[in-house]
Amino acid sequence: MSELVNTIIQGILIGGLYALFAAGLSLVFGVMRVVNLAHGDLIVTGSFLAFTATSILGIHAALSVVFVLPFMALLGYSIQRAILNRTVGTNVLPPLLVTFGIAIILQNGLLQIFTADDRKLDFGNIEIASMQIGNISIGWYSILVFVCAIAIIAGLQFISYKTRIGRVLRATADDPEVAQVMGVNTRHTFSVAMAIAMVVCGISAVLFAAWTSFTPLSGPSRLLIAFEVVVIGGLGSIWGTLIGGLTLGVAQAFGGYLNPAWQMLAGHIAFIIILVLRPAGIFKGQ
Amino acid sequence: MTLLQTHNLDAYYLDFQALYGVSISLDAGQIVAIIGPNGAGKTTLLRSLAGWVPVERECVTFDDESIGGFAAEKVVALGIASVPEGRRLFHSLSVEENLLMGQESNRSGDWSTDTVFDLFPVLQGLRKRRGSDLSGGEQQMVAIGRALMANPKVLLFDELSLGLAPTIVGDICRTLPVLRDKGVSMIVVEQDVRRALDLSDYVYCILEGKINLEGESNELAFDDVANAFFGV
Ligand SMILES: Nc1ncnc2c1ncn2[C@@H]1O[C@H](COP(=O)(O)OP(=O)(O)OP(=O)(O)O)[C@@H](O)[C@H]1O
Ligand SMILES: [Mg+2]
Repeated sequence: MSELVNTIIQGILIGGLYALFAAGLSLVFGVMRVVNLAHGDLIVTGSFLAFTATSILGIHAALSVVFVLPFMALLGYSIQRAILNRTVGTNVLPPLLVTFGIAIILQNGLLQIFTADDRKLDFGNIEIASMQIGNISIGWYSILVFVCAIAIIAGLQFISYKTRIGRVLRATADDPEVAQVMGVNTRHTFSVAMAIAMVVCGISAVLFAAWTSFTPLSGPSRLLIAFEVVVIGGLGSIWGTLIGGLTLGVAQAFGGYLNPAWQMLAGHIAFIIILVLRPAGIFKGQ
Repeated sequence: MTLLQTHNLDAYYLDFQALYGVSISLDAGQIVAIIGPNGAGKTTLLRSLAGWVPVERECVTFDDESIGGFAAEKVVALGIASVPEGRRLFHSLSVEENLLMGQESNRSGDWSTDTVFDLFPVLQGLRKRRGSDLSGGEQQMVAIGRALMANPKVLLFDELSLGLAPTIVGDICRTLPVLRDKGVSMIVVEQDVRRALDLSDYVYCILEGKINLEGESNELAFDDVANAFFGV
């Protein structure tokens, strides 16, 4: 029994991280109507960057965010400004093709530089330390990851609803033409949205890189998680994304509890059930 | 003093030509009305002025500078603001946030959410409502307020009365002279010929992308304008 409770708690905690994967994807789709197929590979790029920074400089893995976040922000802004902006407002196909191309470039570039070996970031003692409540033990690292996820999602909510750039992003998502007529430089706004999404990716990239190992080909599985979370939670609501992440995390944990081989499968089954029962997501976009 | 002018303006949507050699002129302090039947090119004309439809550089002048084809965000930064056809509020933003979007052009001046609420007191109580939860008249007031927040020298106003209750139309018409006194010149698209003549100083009638009648509003005979409107 306590083992079941343990797995479910573990599922909730990783669910926070899944929500972060999805938040970036959802933001980019919400503002630009672009489905970013390179999303997972951009996360993996962030993980490799963290890995490189820690191994070359010998700093603690958590400190690598000092390099990863500005790099990801710049990368996101540049990709949007230089490439993706040319596809915004066309039909659905060009952005899919372009982001698919970026995904392939990233995967092969990473393979060239880092080979296909498994890598993992080392956060030190916190990874094995745990908190004991009765029969239940919860890893401190999982708790750290979850707290970070909640804080970032709350931060995104704050930016969206309490700041000028958030207002401009929501207005541009509603009607880019009129936003421009009001004086918004939408090319810049789109690029800022991508930069914010990439910062969120960078944080989840660092956290996930210590949770489980990764290779240059891990991107598509991250993208799949992000997709499933967005569909489960429903587009357009940041808290819906969190619920989506938790649902997927718990479903996977429960499947893994029944049989370790069923972990991923259980997540996909939960996704399909929700897609059939509530096509617009658990939280219909507000 | 001439503020905004078009010179032999042609406008296209891809291969389709919507305007043919249109020349209009707006003086400082003037209200110009544009009338014409559905599909005549009224909206296209305003969009050409606002940088929303690409046109030749020399075809539009503002304060003696050629601005044709400038990006929309540059045009509004010069002081030409728009109330777009169909109002087009940002539907997921509140009334107050919609108004604040009007400041994105970063022009300084007297307009603020408070002065907009002085002009349209009903909006005060609706501040937190979403754009999509308002009546047509309320939406129109927000759309006007949003444009004014740019502290414009020129207001391009598309479809003043379309789909609005008569009392609301009256309220909105009464605000135009108030705005003019505050230094805003206007080009107003209005389908109702009588009202267009009443509210404006000068009228252009447009048909199939060409101006077919123009003149001082108080000198034109209603019947002539009505005939021009229907192309007879
Ligand atoms: N986005 C567009 N793409 C292609 N053609 C367009 C587009 N917008 C308008 N048109 C065409 O251009 C012509 C002029 O349209 P416009 O909207 O300027 O007319 P209007 O006078 O504003 O009409 P209404 O009174 O219906 O608003 C019409 O024939 C219309 O079909
Ligand atoms: Mg029109």
